[in-house]
Formats: sequence, C-alpha cells, structure tokens
Amino acid sequence: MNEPWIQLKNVHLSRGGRPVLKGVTADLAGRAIGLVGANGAGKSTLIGALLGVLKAESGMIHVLDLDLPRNAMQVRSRAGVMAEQAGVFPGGSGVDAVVFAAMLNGLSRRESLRKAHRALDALDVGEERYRPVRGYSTGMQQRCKLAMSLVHDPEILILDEPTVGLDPPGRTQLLNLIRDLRDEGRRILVSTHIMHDADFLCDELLLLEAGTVAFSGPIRDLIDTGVGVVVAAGEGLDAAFAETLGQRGYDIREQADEHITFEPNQDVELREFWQLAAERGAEVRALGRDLPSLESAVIRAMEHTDEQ
Amino acid sequence: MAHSPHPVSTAFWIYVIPMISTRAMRIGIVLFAGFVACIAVLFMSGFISPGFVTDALQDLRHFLIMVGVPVGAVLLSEIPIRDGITHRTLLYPLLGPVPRVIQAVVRVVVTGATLALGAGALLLLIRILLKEGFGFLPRELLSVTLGAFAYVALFGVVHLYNRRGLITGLVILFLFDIPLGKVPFSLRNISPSYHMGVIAEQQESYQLPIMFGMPGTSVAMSALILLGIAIVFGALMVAGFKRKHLGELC
Repeated sequence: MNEPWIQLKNVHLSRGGRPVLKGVTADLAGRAIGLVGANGAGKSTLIGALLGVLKAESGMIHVLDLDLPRNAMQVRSRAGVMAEQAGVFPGGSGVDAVVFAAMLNGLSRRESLRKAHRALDALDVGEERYRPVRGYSTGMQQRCKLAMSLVHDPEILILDEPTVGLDPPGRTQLLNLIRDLRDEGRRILVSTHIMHDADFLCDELLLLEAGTVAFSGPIRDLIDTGVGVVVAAGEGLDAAFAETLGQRGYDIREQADEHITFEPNQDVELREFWQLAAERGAEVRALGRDLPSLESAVIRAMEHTDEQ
Repeated sequence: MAHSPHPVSTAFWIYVIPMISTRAMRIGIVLFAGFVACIAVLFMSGFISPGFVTDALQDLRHFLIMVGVPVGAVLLSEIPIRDGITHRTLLYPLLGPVPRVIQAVVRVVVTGATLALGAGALLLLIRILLKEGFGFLPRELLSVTLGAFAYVALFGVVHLYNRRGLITGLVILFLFDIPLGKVPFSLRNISPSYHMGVIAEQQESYQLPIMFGMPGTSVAMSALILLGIAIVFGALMVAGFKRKHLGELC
C-alpha cells in the first residue's frame, strides 16, 4: 500500500458565506486520483485548498506531507497545474507559452527553452509549436496547457477537466498521454465529471457530493461491492427455478427465456444456486457477474449519500 | 533543483515576457512612435518656420508631461491585472510558486518604470532638438518619474476593482484630475497633475475674474505628495492583489 500523498481531515471551507466543503476527510494514496462530483460539489474549491489558494476554516490539509496553506509555495513548486479556466497567451507561440510556465517555476531562460521542447516532444507536438497559440485547435491548446503544467518536472500533476471541449479522437489522445505520464511514475489528481475518463486514468476516487465525501478509496472498491448482480443462462432456468431461488434468499432481478438475473446477497460462492441447479437437473451454460459501470456505481454512491 | 533564482527575478520575467503582447503595450508603443513622428516631422519640415517649430515642440513637451504621462498610465496600468483577467492568463502566476505580494510590487514598479523611461526619452529628445541645454531636464524627469509611479499605482487600483478601468480612468483624468489641477484654489493640491506641473514648471491655472493670490506649492512638497500618492495607492494595489479573488481556481 502506498503512503497517502493527499491527506484531508475534517476540512470545512466556505466561499462567500456559503459552506462549500463540509467536513471532508480522506487519505488518498493512488497513482492517479479522480476527483469527481456534480457541478457545485466542491471540486474546484478543494483544488484551490490543495494549492493553498483558499484557506480552510478548520481541519487539516496535507499534500506531499506538507501542511497547507502554510507551505503553499513549496507545494506549488512541486506541482504542475492544468487549470480549466486558464487561457493561453494570445501573442506567442506554443514554445513561448511553455517557456513562460518554466520560468514561472524558477528555471533560467535557457533551461526553460530546453525543457519546453522536451515537454512538447513528449506530448507529440510537432512543428505546430512554433505557430501562434491563438490559431490552435482546442485539442492542441489542451496539449500546450498540459506541457505548461509538466515542463518543470513536477512530482504531482493537478488536472482540472483536462478533456473538456475535445472531440472523441482528441479526448482519447489526451487521455493516453496522461496515462503515459501516470505510468512514468507521476502522481496525478484529475478533476472530471466524465466517468469514463476517471475509469480510464484513475486507480482511486474521491467522490464529492454537496461538499461531503460520498466515497473515497480504490475504484474497484466502489464498483465491486460484494458479489454484485449475476446473470445465468441455461436449460431449466425457468420461472419456477427463479421463484425457488427467491425463496432461498436471492434477490431476483429478471427471468426470461432461460436467463435469470439475480443478486445472491450473502451467498458469495453461489452454493444455493448450484445446489438448486443440481436438484432440478438444470444445465447451466453460462454464468457471469454483471459489474456496474463506474458511472452507475458513482450515482448509487451519491444517492446513498443523499439518503443519509 | 540546481538553479533557483530569487522570486523577484521570477516575478519580473513572468511579467515582462507576456507584457509585450498585451493590447495596452501595443497601443503604448504606437503612442510613443506617434510622439516621435510628430517631433521628427516638426523638426525636419523645411517649410515650417523655425519659430513655429520651437513653439510646437514646447507645446508637445507640455502635453507630454500634463496629459501624455497620465493617459499612458491609464493605459499601461491595465497590464498588471486586467489584461491577464481578460485573457485568463493571470491564473498561471496566481497558482505559481511566487508570492502574490512580490508579484504585485514588481508589476507596479515595472509598469511605472516603463512609462517613466518612455516619457523621459521623449523629453530628452525634445530638449536636444530645442538646443536648450540640460539644466532643467532633471526636474522634468523627476516630474514624469514620480507622476508615472503615482498614476500607475492610482489607476492600478481602478483597474483592480473596475472592469471598465480604461474608461473610468479617462473619466477620472479628464473630468476631475486635470481640471482640478488648474483651479486657483487649495483643492488643486489633491490633483497629481498639478504637482507634476509644479515640479516641471508646466502648471496652468484657469483665469478667473477674482484673484486669490494663494501661495504655490514648493517643488519638494509636490515631489513628496506625488511620492505619497504612489506609496499609498501602490500599497492599496498590492493589498488588493493579495486578497482579491482574481479568477483563480475557486
């Protein structure tokens, strides 16, 4: 188990008198952490707090074992940030923009230029790097912003909605690039409301719902809660079979044409199912778990938080 | 990291590099070139009488000190904040590792110095062309330097709290500051343009039928007042830049 690099303990933060984060507690150790939640859930506010831009009224925030906001400048010098709202410099080229970002992080002009080209190379930005940024497509602008965020070799990357506004090929391309960065060993926090992106990139999730934590931990824990729903197909799996299975404590979801969809509840090894199949002489041809998508798991977790 | 420059140096470069591409700087360069072109035309036109050329250059100098510097300040003082907000590029320095206070101080000082250098170069050029010698030049340079810093700080605050800082600044300048600097009452002491005029001996007063015979301000006092305006509004600008929500992540 990795050590957590983001630690939040009972964080309360208000904006304009309105409480935005309400007792957020989480220890996040993933290589890539997805920060997800509906609009207004507090994702951007939490990012602001993680960078020391916003000060929590109470609670503890540690990033890379540094206490915030006291060590904000140290955290920022070790982080690369790709902000959704940030523009790109209208007057310069892609190289100019990335050089600027490098100099902002304290590199000399010569070193900045060298690292800017290296970062653009890593993101497959070719000769376009010499063109004015104002003529870039959205995808190229996002790549340029990603290069700006990693030009100074930060330990962590904080990406706020990196794929917003991209067409499907552009999105896939950028997601692959970010995944490569993750695989190279960089720790990433990615804020997104696109569950596919979180599923593709992240191994851990922090799900915020109206300023509270609806879920925090490995994604597989969110999806894989118990045995889940099972789909069985075969001869003899008829309505009577389903009814008996229901009487033995299974939650029957659907039965049609020799198919039964059920939730076995506590019977993790499906003993009752196999026993009944043997008793009835049913011939089971296929048996598989119907895992929920991350999106449905997230919605379920959010609904669960609402009920509480 | 092997090499880590001082935050002031970083704040300087991250302000100066994108500065050149800003709208205000482009307009400022055009205005500067316009002044130079006017001087060149006046000086090189053989068909204009020498007396007219001398008068025109002197008028140009008066205009530069009393109007050019304040208007330049209204224009250039949008660069430290408003331009970055418009293009959403201020976010990078705000989320970067350089403290906001250092960034704000560097931004005000660099903008003021840029304006003072431009105005100083033009004054020097005029003085060379008029063959007047450089005896009075230090007072003119003192006037435009202190005026540049005072106005940049003042209009910096305006741009910080007002989306239409350019228009608001011009309204303040032409409806209040410049007219106020010409009234023959003590009220003119709150006008930076009056003090710039006093230092450079360029001040004008409205001719009223009643003579007040009020005492004038000394050069030293005017210099102190302009310095005070620069420090007070500069501090306000820095405090605002530090605390105000400027479009960062939140």
